[in-house]
Amino acid sequence: MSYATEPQATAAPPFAEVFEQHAPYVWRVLRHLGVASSEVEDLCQEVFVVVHRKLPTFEGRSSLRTWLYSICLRTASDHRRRAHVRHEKVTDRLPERSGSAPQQREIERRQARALLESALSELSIDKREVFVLYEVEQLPMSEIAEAIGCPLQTAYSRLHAARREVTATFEKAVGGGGSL
Amino acid sequence: MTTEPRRFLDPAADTMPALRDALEVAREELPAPEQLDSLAARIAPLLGAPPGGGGGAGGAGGGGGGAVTAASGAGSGLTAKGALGVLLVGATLAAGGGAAFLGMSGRGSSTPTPAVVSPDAPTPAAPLPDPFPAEPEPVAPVEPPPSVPEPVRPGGRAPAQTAAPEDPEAEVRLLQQAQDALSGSPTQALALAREHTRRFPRGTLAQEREVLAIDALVRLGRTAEAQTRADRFHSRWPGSSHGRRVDALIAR
Repeated sequence: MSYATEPQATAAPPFAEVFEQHAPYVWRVLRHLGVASSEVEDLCQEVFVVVHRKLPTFEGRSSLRTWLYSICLRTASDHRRRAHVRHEKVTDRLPERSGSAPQQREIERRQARALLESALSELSIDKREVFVLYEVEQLPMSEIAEAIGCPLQTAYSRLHAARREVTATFEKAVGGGGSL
Repeated sequence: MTTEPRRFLDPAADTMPALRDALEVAREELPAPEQLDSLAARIAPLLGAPPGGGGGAGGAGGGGGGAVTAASGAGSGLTAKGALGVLLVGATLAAGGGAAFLGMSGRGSSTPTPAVVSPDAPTPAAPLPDPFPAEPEPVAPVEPPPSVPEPVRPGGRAPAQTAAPEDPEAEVRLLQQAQDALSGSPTQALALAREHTRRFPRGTLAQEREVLAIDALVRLGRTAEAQTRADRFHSRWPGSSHGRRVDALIAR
């Protein structure tokens, strides 16, 4: 079994620094993992409460970024479970960004983004996690396997499957005469 | 050994244009400054509490109601200096805020920061540490927090702490602290700018705060966030006298 771990001698930085440096990316990854915009702030708060509690135990065996993303994944997973119990919807459409002119090019980009959200929502959560961390967050596969806690080959399998499904969604949209 | 496939956003990858667009937009989807400010306000008690034991309130999936031994105070351990000329690019200040700004002289108090202890938390044996211990200042904290911080409750909204609107000197002092921190610790300056947003949501120096925050983001290399904030600045205050300064910061 090939778990990708790369021991490092990284000391834990101060909590305030972790928040300042990483809060935007924690927010982003939670959104892309399907957390609704109305709930992402709550989830971010949960993540940083956990980070605060566990930071003294961070030994630098993985990168801080990997460690943070693993907390995000667990927090989002727990959230989905709670939402399922409450029979709530956990995803929504991403909001339009304010301040942008309604130019055709921007409209196309927004349409493409909406299609990606649709494609992600069709993926299993295992595949979605790998796809988001690799294609959006741009993490190396070794770190993704570490964050998820799965063998590297499993992570690769999920990535390839996710890429096939997402690509198929886009090909179907374009081939179907969509505006993309 | 499996090699990583070429990412969809790799310029050399044969990615459908629409998919490439979608991923580019997805990567730009960072929270707005106001959203980060709100989040920072909610975890403010943690910024002043020692990590580890006692700081955990619930946590992922727990939803527990533990409380936090807290000391607010992005201002703790900071120094207010009297000179204001360097603050915020020598720009024209808003009439009311500017008058107050120019009228203060860096006076400070050394009132200790109060600590909140949850009913089920052990009694702290000593004052809580400074939230920025790595950069100690020789002068005592200049300003106590305006109110006692609430314990952090995951999933719950912490009420924003706001200073009395008629306290312009406190607003000036806070921005002065942020300005003082800017060159040595942009991270600290950014935290203080957030503190300003939280405490003075209708402050008269909001433009100056934004310029400072953009400067700090640029210094931290967070250019995408700086650009987003700059765009919002121009949108919110078109024709501002700070506009050119903002553009210059972004162009660095």
